[in-house]
Amino acid sequence: MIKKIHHVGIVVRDIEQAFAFYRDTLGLPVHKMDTVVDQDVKAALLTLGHSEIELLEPLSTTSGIGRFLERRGEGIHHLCFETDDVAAELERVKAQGVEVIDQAPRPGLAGMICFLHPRATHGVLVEFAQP
Amino acid sequence: MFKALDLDHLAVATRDLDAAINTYRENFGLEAERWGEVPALGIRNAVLPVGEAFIELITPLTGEGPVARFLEERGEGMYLISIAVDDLDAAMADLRERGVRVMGEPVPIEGGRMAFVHPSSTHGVLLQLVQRGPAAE
Repeated sequence: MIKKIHHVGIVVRDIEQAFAFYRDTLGLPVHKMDTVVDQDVKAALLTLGHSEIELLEPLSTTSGIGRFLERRGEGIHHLCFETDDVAAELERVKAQGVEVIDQAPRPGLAGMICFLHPRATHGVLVEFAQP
Repeated sequence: MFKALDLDHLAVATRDLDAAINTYRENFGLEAERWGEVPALGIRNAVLPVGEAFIELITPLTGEGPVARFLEERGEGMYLISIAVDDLDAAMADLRERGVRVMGEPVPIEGGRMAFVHPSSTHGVLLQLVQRGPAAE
C-alpha cells in the first residue's frame, strides 16, 4: 500500500549550488548525502515536513540522470511513493501489466527501491521506496 | 523569517484527466477526493490525497495558457511542486530580499493563498508556496 510521498527528485547541475536555494533560502535541513555509484550520481535528501526533496547531480553525461540533464535541463525528475513492502508493491503492479524499469527491488538512497516506467504513469517517473 | 512546513502537493499535467485518474487508482490505489474546474487558472483538476499531501492532476481547459504550453513543449509530466509555508508574506519579502524571482503577488486559492517562484531561481522547478489557513476554508 502507498503510504505517502516519500520524496520528489530534482536534477541539478551542482548540488552545492542548489543548496543555496533549497537548504539556505528555504531552510530545508540536509539529512543524508551520498554518492550512488551504480547510478553515477551524487544525491542529497532534504527534510520537508512529512516528505523530502532529493537533489540529484549527475557524475557523468552518460548516466540516466546525466542524459536527463543534457536533454531537458535542471528540473523535476521523479516522484517517490513510500510503501511498507516494496517487493509486494512491485509484484502487484507487474501483475497488472504496468511497465517497470526495475524487475526487482534494489538498494537506493531512500532504502529498498524500484522504478516504474514513465509511460505507465502519464509521463511521470515513479519510484517506490521502503525506507 | 518564514518556515517551510511540509510538501503541500505536486501538480501533474495530463492530456486526459479521466484516464489519469484511472491510472493513479489502478497503479497506486489513490482515489480522487474532489475534482472540478478552476477557471481562474484555466484548468480542470482532480485532487488525490496521499499521506499528509496530495497529487493534483490537471489538464488545460483550452489550447492556451501555461499548462497547455507545458504539454505542448514537454508532454505530460510533473508540472510543479507546492510547499506549505507558515507565513507567505514573510516568505515573499525574504525571497525578494535574497534576489529570488517571485512571480507577482499572492492570490487566493481553495483553502489558502499562494504565489509562484520562477524556475530560474529554483534550478528549473516551478515552485508554488502556499499558506494554508482556516480563514480561506
